[in-house]
Amino acid sequence: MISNPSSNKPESAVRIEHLKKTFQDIPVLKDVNLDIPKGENAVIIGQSGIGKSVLIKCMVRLIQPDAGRVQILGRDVTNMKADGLNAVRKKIGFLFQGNALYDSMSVRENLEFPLVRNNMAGTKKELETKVIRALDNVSLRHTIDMMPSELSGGMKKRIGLARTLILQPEIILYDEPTTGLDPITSKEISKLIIDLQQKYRTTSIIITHDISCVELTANTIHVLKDGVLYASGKFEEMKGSKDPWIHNFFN
Amino acid sequence: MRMTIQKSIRLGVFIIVGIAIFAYAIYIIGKQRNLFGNTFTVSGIFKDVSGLKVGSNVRYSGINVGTVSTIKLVNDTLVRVQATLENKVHPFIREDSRMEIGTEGVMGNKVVNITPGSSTQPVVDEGDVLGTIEAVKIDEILEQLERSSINTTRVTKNLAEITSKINQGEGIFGKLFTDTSFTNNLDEISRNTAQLTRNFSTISGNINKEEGVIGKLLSDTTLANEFDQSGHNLLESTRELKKITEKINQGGGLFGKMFTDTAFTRSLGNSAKNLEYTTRQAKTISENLANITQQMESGRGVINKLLTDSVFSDSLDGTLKNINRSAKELDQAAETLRKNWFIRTFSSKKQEQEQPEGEEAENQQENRGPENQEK
Amino acid sequence: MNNEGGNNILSDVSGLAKFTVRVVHHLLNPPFENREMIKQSYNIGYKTLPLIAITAFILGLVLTLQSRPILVDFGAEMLLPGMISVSIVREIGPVVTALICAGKIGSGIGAELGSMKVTEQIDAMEVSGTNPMKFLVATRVLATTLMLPILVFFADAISFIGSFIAVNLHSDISVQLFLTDAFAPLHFYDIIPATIKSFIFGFAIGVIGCYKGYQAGFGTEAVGRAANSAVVVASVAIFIIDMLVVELQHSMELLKF
Repeated sequence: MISNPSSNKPESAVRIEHLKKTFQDIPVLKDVNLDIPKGENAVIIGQSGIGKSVLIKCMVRLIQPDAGRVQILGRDVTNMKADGLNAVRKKIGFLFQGNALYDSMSVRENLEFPLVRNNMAGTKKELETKVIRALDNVSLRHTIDMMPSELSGGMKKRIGLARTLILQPEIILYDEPTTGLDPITSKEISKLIIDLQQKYRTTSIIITHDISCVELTANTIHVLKDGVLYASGKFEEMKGSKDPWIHNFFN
Repeated sequence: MRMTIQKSIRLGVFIIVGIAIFAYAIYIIGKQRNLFGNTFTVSGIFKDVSGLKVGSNVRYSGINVGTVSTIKLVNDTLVRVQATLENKVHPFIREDSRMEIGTEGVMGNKVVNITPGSSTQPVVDEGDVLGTIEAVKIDEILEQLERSSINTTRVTKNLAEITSKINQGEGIFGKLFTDTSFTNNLDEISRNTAQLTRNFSTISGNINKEEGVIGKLLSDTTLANEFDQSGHNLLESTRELKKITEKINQGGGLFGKMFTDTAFTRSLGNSAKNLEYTTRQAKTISENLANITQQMESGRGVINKLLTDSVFSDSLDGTLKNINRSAKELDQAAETLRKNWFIRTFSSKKQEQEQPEGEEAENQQENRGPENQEK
Repeated sequence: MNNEGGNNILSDVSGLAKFTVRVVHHLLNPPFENREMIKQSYNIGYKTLPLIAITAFILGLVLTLQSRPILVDFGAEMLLPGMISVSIVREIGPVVTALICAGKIGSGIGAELGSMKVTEQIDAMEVSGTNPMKFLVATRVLATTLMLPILVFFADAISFIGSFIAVNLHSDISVQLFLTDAFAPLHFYDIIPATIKSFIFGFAIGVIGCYKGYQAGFGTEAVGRAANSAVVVASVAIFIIDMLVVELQHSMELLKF
C-alpha cells in the first residue's frame, strides 16, 4: 500500500490514481492521475465547472470518489476511518473559495476553532499566542475581536489563510484564492501565498483561472479538461504551447 | 457568540423555572389524586355504580377527601368500589359509616359520599368494607311518574265514559249501585289520589320555588325518596282505580237501587268532590311544571343545566305531557260528573239552589288552566 | 447536492428519514458537543421565551373571552378555568408553542445551516477535524428537543395568567380559586402525553431545520428556500405528529392506561 519513492524521484505529497466521480449521471472526473511532489507549488487550471474543486475536495475526502485512489503523504485516504482521516486532515490546510469563515464567531474564535477541535490549544496563553502569531502573518492583528461580517473581502481572505495555516499543515489546498478580489488585492494574496509557502515549507495545490496568480505562484501547472489531466508543465512551457486550447487560456 | 457566565445563568434560571412549573403542576394534580401523603383505603359493594369512574371524587360531609382507586366487578350483580382517602379523615370514618353514590352538582359527575357514622362505633381499619346505600335514580322516578300519568289518563278516560253513560241513563248504572263497596272504594281511591297529587304539588312547588332545589332534588336522597314513593303510590292507586272503573264500565246492574239509597249518593257526591280537588291539584302541578319548563326554555340559571342531560329532559318532557293530558281529562271527567242530572238532583238536597251555577263558573276557571299550558 | 431539486416529496421523506437515523446515531454515540449544545439551548430556549410569553398570554386571554359566552348560556361559568386549562395543557399550549418555534427556530436553523452549507463553512468544519453532524446538527436537535417542552411549560403557565385576567374582567375570582378550578379537571394523562408530544415536536423542528439547511443547494437563494421549506415542513409535521399522538393517546385511554 505504502508507496516507496524511488531514490531518483522526490517523495510525493499527493498522488491520485484513476480517480472517477459522477454527479447525477454526468461524469465530472473520468480518469485523473496526478502526482504532486513535496514542497512544490502546483497549480491546477481549467474552465469553470470542470471539476477542479471536486478534485481537491476528493483529496480531503469532503467528496467520496466513485473509483480510484487518493494518497496523501503516502497514506491512502479513500477508505480511511474517521480517526485516521482526521489525523491526515490535520496535516492539510484548505482555503475555501468563499473563505468559509464561521459567521457566528469572531475572528479570534474562528482562528481558535481548528486548534481547539484538534486538541492543540494548549493553555489559554499558548492559544492566545498562536492566534496572534497567525494574525501577524497576515498583518491583521487589529481585527482579532471583529466579526467576519465587518471585514472586507481581502481581509476575509487573509483571515481565512491565517486560519488555514494555524495548524501548520504540510499541504495547503487553495480553492480559487484570488477570485472576486480586485487585481491589487489579488496580487497581494498571491504574494502572501508564496511568502508563507517559503516560510513554512509547505506543499501548495492552487486551483485558479487567474493567470497572474498562476504566473506568480506556480512551479508546475496541471490542466484539467474533459475529466482528465490534459497537460502538465511549467508556466513558460504552457505559455508557449502549440495546443490551441492551452494557448487560448494563457493568452 | 460566546457563552458567557451571565448567559449560562440565564439559561439555568430558564430551565429551572420551566421544570419548576412542570413539577408544580404534577404536584398539584398528584395532590388532587392523593398520590402523595398518607392514605388509607376503604371499599363498598354496590349493585350499580351509575357511571362512577376511577378517579372520581370521594366526599365526606361534602369535602373532597379522596378518590376512587378501583372499580371491580365482584360477580354478575355486584361491583366493588375501592376509595383511597386522606389519612386526616381516618378518625371520622366509623364502622357504621356508609358509602353512597351521588351526583356532583347537576352536571352529572358521579361522586362517592361517605356518611358520618355514630361516634360510639370504632374507627374503620385499612381496607374495611363499608355498608352502602343504593342510589335512587332520577330516571327511575321519572319513569314511574310517566307510567302513573299514563294510568291516570286511562282512569279518567274510563271515568269520563262512566259518567257519559250515566248521563245517557244506560242500564249498567243500576248494577253499579247495587254494591256500595264499589262506591266506597271509588271514594277512597279518589281521596288517595287527591293526597298523592297534593304531594306532587308540594314537590313540584318546591322545585319551582327556587332554582337550587333541582340540584337538591338530585342529590338529596330524602326528597328523592319521597318523590319516588309518591310516584310509586300514585302508580299503584291509579292502577287500582283503573281496574275498578273498567269493571264498572263492563258490568250491568240494578238501576233502581240508586234512587233509594241516599247514603250511596252522598258518597258519590264526596267522590266527585275529591275528584274535583284532585283536578285542582293536578292543575297546580301542571302549572308549576309549566313554570319550570318556561325557565328551562328561557335558559336561566342552574335549571338549564338539566338540558345537558338529554335523556333526563326527554323523560321529563314525556312526563309533563302526560300529566298535562291526564289533568285535562280529569277536568273533563269532573265536569261531566258535575253536569250529571243525577248528582245535581241529589246533592241539591243539602245544598243551596244556586250552587250548580257556582260550580259551573268554577268549571270554566279550571278549564282555563290546561288550555293555558298548551300555548 | 444530489437532491438539488428537492421537489419530489418521496425523495424528501426518504432523505429526511435517513437523515434522522444519522442524527439519532450521533445523539447516542459519544463524543458529545456539550458546550455547543448549551450555547444552542440558550439561543433556542431562552431567546424564544419572550415571543412565546407574549403569544401565550394573548392566547389564554382571548381563548377565555371567546369561550365565556357559551358557558354563560349554560350557566356554567365556573367551569371556564377548567375548560381553558384542559384545552391549553392538552392541545393549544404544545401545538402553538411548536408552531411558533417552527417559525422562529426552524427557519433560523434552516437559514443558518443553509448559509453555512452554501459558503462551505460546513466543509471547513469537517476539514478542521469536527464532525458537523455532531457539532452542528446533533447539538441543535438535542437543544430543540429539550427546550421545547420547557417553553411549553412556560406557555401553559403564562396563558393561565392571561386566562385568569380574562376571567376577572367579568367576574371576581381569587388566584387560589382559579388555580383550583383550573387544575380540577387535569389528570396525569393530560400532562404526560402533552409533554411527550412537546419533546417530539422539538425533535421534529430540529431535525427538519437541520435537514433543510443541509440540503441547501448553491447560492444565496438556496438559503432562503431552505429556511422557508424548513418552516413549512416542520409546521405540517407538527400537525401530523399531533394527530398521531392524540390517536395513540385515545387508544391508550381506552385500554385504561
